[in-house]
Order: sequence, then structure tokens, then C-alpha cells
Amino acid sequence: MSLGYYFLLPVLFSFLTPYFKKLGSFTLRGSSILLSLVLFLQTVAYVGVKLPQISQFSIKPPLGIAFILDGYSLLFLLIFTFSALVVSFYMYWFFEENSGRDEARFYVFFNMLIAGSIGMILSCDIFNLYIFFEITGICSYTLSAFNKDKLGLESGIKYLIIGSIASIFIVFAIMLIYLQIGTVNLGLIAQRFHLIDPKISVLIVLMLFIGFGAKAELFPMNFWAPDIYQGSISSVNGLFSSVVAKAYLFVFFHLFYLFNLGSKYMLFVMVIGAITFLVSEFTALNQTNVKRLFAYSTLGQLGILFMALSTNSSQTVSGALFHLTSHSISKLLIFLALGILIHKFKSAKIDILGNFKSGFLTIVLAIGFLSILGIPPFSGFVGKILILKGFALSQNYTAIAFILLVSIVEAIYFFRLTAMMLDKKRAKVTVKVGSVNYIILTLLAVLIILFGVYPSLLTHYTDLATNALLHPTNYLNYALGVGL
Amino acid sequence: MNSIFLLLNLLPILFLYQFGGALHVSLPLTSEFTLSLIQTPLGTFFAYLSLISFLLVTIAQKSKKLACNYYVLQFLLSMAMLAIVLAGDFITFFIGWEIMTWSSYFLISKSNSIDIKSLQKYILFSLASAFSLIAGIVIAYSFAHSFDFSVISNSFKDMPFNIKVALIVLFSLSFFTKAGVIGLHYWVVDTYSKAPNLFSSILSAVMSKMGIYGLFLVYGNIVGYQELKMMFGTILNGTDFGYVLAWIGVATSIIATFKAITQDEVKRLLAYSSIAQLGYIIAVIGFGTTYGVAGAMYHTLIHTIIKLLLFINVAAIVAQTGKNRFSQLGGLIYRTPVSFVMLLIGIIGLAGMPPLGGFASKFMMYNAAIDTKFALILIGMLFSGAASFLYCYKLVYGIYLGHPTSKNLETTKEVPISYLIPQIILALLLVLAGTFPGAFIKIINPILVEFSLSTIPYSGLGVMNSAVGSFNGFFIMSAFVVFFVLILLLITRIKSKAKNNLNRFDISYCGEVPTQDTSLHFGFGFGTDLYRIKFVNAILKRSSSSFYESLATQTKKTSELFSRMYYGNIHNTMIIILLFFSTLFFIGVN
Repeated sequence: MSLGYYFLLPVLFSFLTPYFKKLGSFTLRGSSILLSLVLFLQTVAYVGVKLPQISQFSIKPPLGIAFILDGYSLLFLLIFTFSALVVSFYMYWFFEENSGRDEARFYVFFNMLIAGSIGMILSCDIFNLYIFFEITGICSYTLSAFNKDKLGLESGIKYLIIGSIASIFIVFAIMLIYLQIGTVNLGLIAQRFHLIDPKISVLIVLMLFIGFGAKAELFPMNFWAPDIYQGSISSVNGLFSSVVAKAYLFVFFHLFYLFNLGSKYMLFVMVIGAITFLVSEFTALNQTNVKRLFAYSTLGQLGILFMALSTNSSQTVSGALFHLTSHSISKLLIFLALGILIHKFKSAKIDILGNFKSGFLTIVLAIGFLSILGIPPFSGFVGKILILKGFALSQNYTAIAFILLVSIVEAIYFFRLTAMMLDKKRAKVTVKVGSVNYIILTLLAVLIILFGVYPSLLTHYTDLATNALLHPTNYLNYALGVGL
Repeated sequence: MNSIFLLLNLLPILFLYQFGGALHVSLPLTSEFTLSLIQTPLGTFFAYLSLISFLLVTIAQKSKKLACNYYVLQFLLSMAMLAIVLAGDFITFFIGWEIMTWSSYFLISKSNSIDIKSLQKYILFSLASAFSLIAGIVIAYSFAHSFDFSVISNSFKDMPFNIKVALIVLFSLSFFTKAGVIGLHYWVVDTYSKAPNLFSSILSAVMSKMGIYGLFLVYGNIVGYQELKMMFGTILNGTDFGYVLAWIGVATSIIATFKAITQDEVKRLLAYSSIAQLGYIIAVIGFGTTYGVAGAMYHTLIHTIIKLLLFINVAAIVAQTGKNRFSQLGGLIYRTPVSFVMLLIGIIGLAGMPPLGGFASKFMMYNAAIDTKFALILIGMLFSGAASFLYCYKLVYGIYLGHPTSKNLETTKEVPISYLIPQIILALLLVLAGTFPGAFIKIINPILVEFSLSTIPYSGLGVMNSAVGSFNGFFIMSAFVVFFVLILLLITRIKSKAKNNLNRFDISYCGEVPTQDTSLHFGFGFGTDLYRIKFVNAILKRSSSSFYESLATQTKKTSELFSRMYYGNIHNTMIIILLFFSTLFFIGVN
């Protein structure tokens, strides 16, 4: 199957949504699940195939448009399609419980969001990348405003404004690149990037940094992010945390290593990542709204990932990609489990949510928390120890001390939540978990444990991804159309 | 349920026995990590110590209706500890360490008296300990390029001096936190006193010993006592390093002893006593001499036995009476005579009096201090040893002697047999450890060889040899038993003549006749007089809590400061982004 179907199928589905809706809500939900399943299985089918794979449309690159799948994008593709599958199942339950919500609107934008995110990580020219960036953006704005209340609309409009600013920066950067080099093909840009006048190249890099950094929720540009998380429904939060933010992060580091910016900007990105981590974890301590709290937690984890991914050392980057995968799974688990509680209590206040009584939810949430904190035998541990090990090999003890110290701050709020769940003195309300949610939450928890006790399952793909990210020779050849 | 987990707890003991020292397993986790289990004499000693403790506590849990998940977590905890002591590399060690942390956290949370603050204290200190450990591990890795104990140990000599010191400090901090050295003990007392009563015995007797195991591992195996001597030089007959550590240990034991005396809650007293006893171990662990290591090791064994005994005893009394303060207990000697005898044996051991095992271990430690000529340390240890008599006395007086403080104490029945069985076994072990101290020399000698220290000469089961002198435990015990029986006969003859028909309110002082609610129990105010001694008052008034509470306040303030940035004004966000961009551009272009 051509890589183009990753984009075409969801778009087709989105256009057909009104007809599906006429056939009944079961058809609508079912077909969305089916679509996600097809995409996921298709991605699984790429596992083990010789990479990179290319799908060109009409004209051969570098002139034509093409999608390229290498080791790096395969890992993200697996995460995205898996998250989409889990969220589709979850939404089946959600709309069952909240009948009367505008299902069709959700599914149109949900599938377009997935299509846009996947397009961003597959496309090999920067202008297409921008188009997918916009598609993802617009879908996120609408999805975050899915609750048509004050908070929802506020988050939608804020996201729209920030998204537009980020787009302006990126369009300018692309314009400058095109003016300087005369191409939008990533391979050609990478080849000729060093020819650009240093002052202009600084401007381009900064504009790309601001554009993608603002979307990937880096520190001085992330003041909007918690508001977005607060206003959205929790499954959309899960998507933002494990798909959308990760897609921007993907592009950020893809360009970072393609344009060979590592030597010049490494320290800068690392410091920005560190500040993001520090500020977010401290801010999270002070939260009373559970969605905001986990928004800050997501920002903090993204901070660690930026710190580790910018190091240009295969050990650390591989660890960071492991951590990224594990974080995506854990955050998805946490947001979906919280969604069940928020639906039950009709509130996202921590004090109120702490009153639930459900052994199952307590266990899966505790697994998610422990995994994000990097405590064995859960998957977060492997990611964190690999990152620390990488830093140790480059003798960067400051980073190690920093990560460990801030992790203690992180532990404060995670264990405050855990203690609240375990507190026997609270007036408890029994929460029942439906069978669909039971299955998906168990699946996520099992994955977290599985990757924790048998990390070789995942390290194979993170090593492939690291190799593709740090040594993009093959990718460049394909992007330039050599040997096609 | 109880029987199933009893058998499950028995299995690893049999398994370990079956292997008999030859266990060597390695399991590749990823291409970079290999988990390995190796049975060393040191690890085996601690493995048996923890496994048998778990077995005994499980026996005591027979009479409680505990849920399945409680037993599962407890079994997980015991397996984690087994992984710690049998680990052949730091990754296995750390995984065990962290599983120990969270499984014990969930077990503590099952108590009815626990609150969020104590839980937070426990988990944050445990995680700080773990993070300090992992920092040490990755720094060691950056030089050795391996997590294996033997590889790190071999390459330790070639590391730069500051890295060596950093490693020793990081590892020590981590294990000190677990053992509860003064200053890092903030979590200990609350956790031990608020945990489920029987689980407190595991916390105090076994989990704190994992800190001691870590110290032995690092000082003895990874760094090596020879290397410590070469790094820091020597003072008198011991190492400089050991001298500093000895002061830390002695300070811990003196301060904790005085704190223990003034406690009113039984388990808080035991918690402070536990800190004080571990202080002795830490005092002698760094001496780097044969008798220092032997004393620390023997005291580890004895303290485990005693604390299990005492905590199970107290748990039984609390379960039986529902009271956990000295001011609410008293006079139980006639109602629960067997428990009384068990506690008596326990405190005789705790005070370090002959003829029980406590004496033998104190003897070794004092000998080690004499051997290294650390006279001040010896005085400190003797001082805190003497002061510990007071809390031992409070323990037995407050619970069993004096007058019962309330009516329902007069109708209390003897505690269930399931509580008594482990106590009797432990008391027997304590008696045996005092009678045959020579047997311990046989256990310790392989460990001394492992640390490349000279071994202790063995001359018979009953004889404990040391550098300064020796004693025959068997002889002391025989003499003691003879005298004890004679005195017992004498007392029972006098007793039979006296009439026991007095009521506890048949007294009057200064013309006042006590009423039903007047407390006649001495245990109530015991130890408050200590505040009048200036030196002790100074110790008792100070507390590490103000430091940690101000740290918490600072964290909160920082958090508030940072969260002020996120107040959600989109215009300001836009302006910040533009300003950020222009600043960066300015810096970048110039």
C-alpha cells in the first residue's frame, strides 16, 4: 500500500462522515474504529520491511511530492496509529455515555488530526510539511473547543491565535529558505543549508525554532498550553499529549539533525528544555485542576525529551525515544482513566476526583504515575535510565543532577495524587468501568509493564529510529530521488 | 490465604539453601543491561535475615484478616529485598531498591492511622535516597562502562579523587536515609509509628537493614576497606573516614536514645530506639578493622531479632487492648504473662546485658572501638548504651508493670498464639546467640575474607574471641540460669505468703484519695524530667523538622512564583513570544 493512503483514507473518511452519520451512530463509531485499525495494522506491516520506504506522486523527487518512511518516522507512526486506535475505542464508550453530543464533528476532526500528524512526519518537502502542520493545527483548534462551554471556547480561540502566530513564523522561514536556496525539498535544503549566509540562516533557524517550539510547548512560549488542556475533553488531551505534541517534536528534531544544527544549537536547546522541565514541574505542584496538572506534567516530560534529544549522542537519543514512547502510552492511560472519573464526577477538581473508589482505576493510574516517574519495573524506568546513562557517558553530570533533582519535585504531586487515591478517610463513591475501557486501560497498563520488564521489544525500534535520525544519509538519498 | 503465603515465603529460603552459595544467574534485559544474581557470603547473610523475618511476620499475621493484595505486596517486597542482597550489578540492585520503595509505600498506605503527610514524607525520602543512589550508579558507570559490581570495583582505583569522594558521599547518603541517620531520619518515626503494626516490624527490622547492607556493599566490596584507608589516611588505629562515620553514628545513637525516652507512643519509642541501634552499627562500620565489621554484622543480626520481637509484641498488645500509648497501658503482667516474658527477653537483649545476644554484639563493638583506640567514640557508645536502659525500662514498665490505667485493661486476655509463636522463636534465637556466640564467628569469617580482612580465631561454640579479650557465653548463660532459678524459687516462696487483696485505689497521698480517672501510672510522665538536664534539653528541643518544613515552604513558594506566569493572558503570551524571538535574533546575529 502506498504511504499516501495514510493521508487519503482519513480524509476520505472525513468527507464520508455525514453519510455514515445517516446510517446511524453505531456505523459512525464502528467505521472510525475500523479505519484506525486499518492504519495501525498497515503500520505494523511495515515493521521488518526494509527502510526507508518511499511513495512518490506523479513526479520523482526532488521536484515532485513524496512521502518517506524511515526508522525514525516508523516509531512515531506506530505511536500515532496506536494512540488513534485506543482513542477511537474510548470514544465509542464516550459517545455511548454522552449521547446527543455532536459525534460527526468529533470524528471529522479527529481523523483529520491523525491524517495531519502522520502527514507531518512522512512528507519530505517543507511546504507540504507546512500544509500538514496547518491541517493538524486547525483540527486541534476545533477539537479543543469540542466542549462548547466557556472554557472550551476559550481554549479553542487561544489555540487558534497561538497556532496562527506559529504558522506565520514557519511560513516566513520557508519563504526565506526558498529565496536563498530555491527549493522546498528537505533533501536539497539539507544539502545546501550551509551555503546560506550565516545571518540569514540564524534567522531561519530561529523562526523555525519559534514556530515549532511554540507548538511543541517549549518554555517561554507555552503559557497557552495548560488552558488548552483544561478546556478540552480528556481523550483529546490524551491525543494532544501523545500525538500532536509528539508530532511537532518529531519535526523539530528531524529538521534539527537534517540541517545539521547539532553542533551550533545543542546547548541552547538543552537549556531551553531544562528550563521547561524545571518551570513546569514546579508549576504543577500548585494545581487544583487535574487536567491542568497533567498538562504541566506533559510540558515537563517534553522538557526532558528536548534535553535528551538534542545531545547528538546515540545512547541518549535512543533513551529519549524510549522515554517518549513510554510517556505517550502512560499519558494516554492517565488521561483516559481520568476521563472516566471526570465523566462520573462532572468536575476536574483534584479534591473531588480523589473520592473515587475503584480498585482497577487505582491500580492502572498508579502504574501510569510510577511509569512517568521512571520507577522500575515500568517502562518509564528504562527510558530514564537510558537517558541518564547517555548523559553519564558524555560526562554531563549537571544534566544528571538536574533531572534527578527536578524528578523529586515531580514525585511530590504524583504521590500526593496516589496518597489521595489510597486515603481511606475520604467519602468514597464507587466508579464502574465499562468493559471497553476495562480492555483498553488493561492493554495500556500491560504494555507499560511489558516494555518495562522486556525492553528489547522496543529498544530495537528506538535504535533504528536513532540511527535514522542521527545519520540521515539514506533518507537524504531518497529525498533527492537518487536511484529511484 | 495466610497459609499459602507462608509456604510462598518458605520457598525462597529452601531455594537459597538448595543452592548453598553457588547461585549465579544472569538475564539479559536489553543489549546493554544484564540482570545478574550472585550469591556472596555477605548477601547470603542478609538474604536469610530478611527471608526468615518475613516468614515470622507472616506467622504473626495469621490472626489478622488481611486482604490478598496485602500479602501479594508483602511477598513482592520480600522478593525485591532478595534481589537487592543477591544482586551482582547495580541495575538489579536499583530495580530491587525501587520495587522495595513502592511496594512498602502501598503497604504502609493500608494502615488506618496513616495520613497523607506521613506517606509523602516516606515516599519523598525514599525517592531522594533512590535518586542519590542512581546518581552514584550512573557516575560510576561513566568511568567503568559497566554496571557490574566487580567491574566497578576494579576500576574504582583509577577514578579521579573527587569522583571517588562524590561516589562515596552519594551512596552513603542514599543508605543513610534508609537506615535513618540523624538529620535524614525525618521520615522514620512517623512511618514506623503509623504503618500497620506488624508491618512496622518489617520496616524496622529488615528494611532499614537494606541500608546497612548497602553500606557494607559499598565500603567493603565496591570501594574496599583498603582503598578507603589509602584514600583518606589513618587516625590512631582506624581510618579517618571511619572516625567521621563513627561520630555520625554515635551522635545518631545518643540523640535518638534521648528522644526515645521521652516518647509516649509505644511505636514511636521503638522507632527512635531503632534509629539509635542503627547508629551503633554505622559507628563501627567504617573502622575498616576485623572487629569493626564483625561488631556491625553481629549487631545487625541481633537488632533484627530484637526489633522483630518487640514490634510483634507491641502489635499483639495493641491488637488486644486497642491502646498504643504508655499513658493508656500498664499492669498487663498478670493478664498477658507470656508476652511480658518475651518483652523482658527483648529488652534485656536491647540493653546489651549479659547473658543474651545483645551483650555479645555490644561486646564486639566496644572491642572494635578499643582496638582502634577511638576512646571518645567508646565513651559515646557506652553513654548512649547506658541511657538506653531508661527506654528499655519505660517499655516494660509502661506496658506491663504498675497499675492498669483503665478498667478494660483488667480484663485483657493473653494475646493469640499466632503472635506468640514468632516471639518465642525469636526469644530462643536471642538466647542461643548469647549462649553460643562462637557460632557467629563461623558465619562472619567468609564475609571477612570477602572484604580481605583478617579472620577471627574460632575456639568453640560458646567462646567469643576478640582483639582485647574473650568471654564464654555458655558459661555465663549457665551461671545465669542457675541464679535465676534460685531467685525465682525464693520469690515464689515469699509471694505465696503475701496476700494480694489490695485495690489500686487503696492509697492516699497528702490526704487526697485518688478517683477512678486519676492516672496512677508512672509510665505517663516518665522521661519528662530529662528536660531539666541542660545538655539533654538542648538535644530534645532541636529537631530536623523545621529544616524540612522550611524546605517544603520554599518549594511551595517557588511553585506559586512560577505558576503566576501561567495566568492565561494570551496577549502577554504573544508579546513574550515576540520578545523572545527578537532577543534570540539579536544574540544570534551579533
